[in-house]
Amino acid sequence: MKKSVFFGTLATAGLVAGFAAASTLDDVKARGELNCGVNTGLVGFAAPDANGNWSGFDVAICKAVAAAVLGDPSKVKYVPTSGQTRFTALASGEVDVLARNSTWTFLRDNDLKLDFVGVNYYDGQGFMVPKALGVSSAKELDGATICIQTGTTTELNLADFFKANNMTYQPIAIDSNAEGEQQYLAGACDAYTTDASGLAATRAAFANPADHIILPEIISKEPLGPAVRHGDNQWGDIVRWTLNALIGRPWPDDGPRQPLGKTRHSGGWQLRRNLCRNDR
Amino acid sequence: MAIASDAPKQSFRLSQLLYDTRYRSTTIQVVVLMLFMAVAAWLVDNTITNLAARGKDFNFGFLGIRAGYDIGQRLIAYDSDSTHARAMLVGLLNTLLVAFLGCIVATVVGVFVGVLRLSKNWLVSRLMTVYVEIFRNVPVLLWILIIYAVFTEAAPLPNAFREGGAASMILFDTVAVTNRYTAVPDPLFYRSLGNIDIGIFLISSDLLAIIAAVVAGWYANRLVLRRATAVQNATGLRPVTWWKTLALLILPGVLTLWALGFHLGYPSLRGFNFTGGINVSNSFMALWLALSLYTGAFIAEIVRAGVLAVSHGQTEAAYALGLRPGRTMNLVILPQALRVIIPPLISQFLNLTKNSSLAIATGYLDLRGTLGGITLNQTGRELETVLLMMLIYLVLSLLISGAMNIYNASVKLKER
Repeated sequence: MKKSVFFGTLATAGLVAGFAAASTLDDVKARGELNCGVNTGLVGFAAPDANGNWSGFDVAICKAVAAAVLGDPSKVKYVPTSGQTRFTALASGEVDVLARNSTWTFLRDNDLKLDFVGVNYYDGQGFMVPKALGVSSAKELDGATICIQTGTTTELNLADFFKANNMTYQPIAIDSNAEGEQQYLAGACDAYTTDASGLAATRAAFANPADHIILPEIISKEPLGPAVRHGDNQWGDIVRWTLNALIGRPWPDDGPRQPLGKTRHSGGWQLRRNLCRNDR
Repeated sequence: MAIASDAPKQSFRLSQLLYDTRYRSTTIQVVVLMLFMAVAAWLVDNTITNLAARGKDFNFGFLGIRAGYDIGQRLIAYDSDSTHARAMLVGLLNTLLVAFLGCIVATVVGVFVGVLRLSKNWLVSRLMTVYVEIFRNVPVLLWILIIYAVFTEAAPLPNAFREGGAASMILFDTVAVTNRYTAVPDPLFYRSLGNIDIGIFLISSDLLAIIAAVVAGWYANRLVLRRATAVQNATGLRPVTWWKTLALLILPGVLTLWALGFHLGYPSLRGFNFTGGINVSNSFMALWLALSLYTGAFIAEIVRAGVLAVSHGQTEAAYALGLRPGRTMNLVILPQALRVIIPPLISQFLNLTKNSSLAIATGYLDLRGTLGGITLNQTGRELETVLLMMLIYLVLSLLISGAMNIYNASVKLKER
């Protein structure tokens, strides 16, 4: 009898747990930590240093959201995601917010049931080639072997660009920026293509950056921004206005912070004022 | 006995379901079945509810929309305007290709190594032992990565094959091993028969003609051998057949090639890459080699076990009859060893086929790479693509298993 009660409770708990993803805000507060999906390593957007401290453009969003919700920018658990796993990680609740230089597209917003809260970087896809190759334009890449990260919009843009220009190419599918860098430097591909910002960041980390050039063609428009799950508007608003506040003014490095909801007008903290003021 | 059958007839009581041995096992089975169905129903219901909570539905309509991405190695016509279903088919064919070639090489390697490991030559048998132990005791994923790394890091760039470059082509300037692919000559035909369109893709008539000729020659050879055996049984003298066998096995294929105007298109470096031949990508080569050598090590052990399972008395009896070692192997040992070898061999073939999904490590776009990789990611249909992929692998494995079981039935001990 006791056993059946126990199993019954267990089953009910399982059922409840299955449906309990009601409010992301409550989950984060209860957990005391923000799970933030970031790139596995792309200097400038999100990359850990030698001590394991993450920094970059996307990391700033994670920190800001943690500060806004929990009052402490350090209460972030960074979850590195690849181009293939990022949206699944968000949809399954493994991360609360995805700040992983992801392009805002119609398909992702609608079919993947995500909400992009805004744009934090306007990017475009470019090509990087070794200088020794003697190529000065992407239109000269007919027949080239090109390294491409799978599961990205760049994969589709690349196919369209070569088709539109009646050129052929040999794609080499890679999984992460680090693998792409390694394959490109090993000469497994003639050109590496990804967002121009990513190319610049990757090239900067090379031993001899001057030996490589980024071709002038930008073949797509890539508005990058943080994303949340569709349907939780409250959480979406928090991330959206955190982003807006960041765009409005750089984040202060230190200073007292209080959880969201406790009014605090002093200190010249743009974010707090933006979030709390509702008179305009 | 009589007393038991004369026991007074009782009406059926509910407690009998549990306490009567006649009903108990049925009761337990029914309860277990109900529990199983309850769990399955709960899982399905939970999935549907959670999908609904995320606003997702369950349909396979995505297979019909434009894929938009390119695939490096494709055995059938495909471009970025094709549908996701076709991308899936391209991936499936790539899986089948590497599984088929892998099974062949693994079997050849396995049989050779397994027999050589039993060799009386100390050095040979020890070398084979080292091979088997090294390959089967390291995870296959590591072998794939190592072989891939060797190809990409050690082989020269295509650029190095230019005039005055450091690298040169091998095998009379016909094959170039580069760090991206191995460029090999392309088989071409002056008098090609064209292609047959079977609706989904094209099949080369030339290939069909060659296969038909070779199979016909092989079948004719079997008839010749059967007749030789009949003659031997009748007269005691076996007619000389080796030249007929040789001719029947080789001539049909060669004649067909000649009739079709077979020639090779040699690869040459134009622009960034070799063109004019076939570029076999390193990802494919690494996967193929690693899977073959890894599974080959297991097959070697199976073959060795099969040969050892035939008692030594059989060999001695054959020698006593005056059979030479080669004939002893072919006529006495192998037929008996095969029935021990085939069943575990089936599971090795299945393992190889399923392990081919490790292609993801080298970026080889097999079924896992297209349907379960890019399509999944671009459409966000995780549940549908993974279920479909599981179904395809399941069907594939069952087909292989079924085919091998038919073969097993033909070699197993016939009890009369």
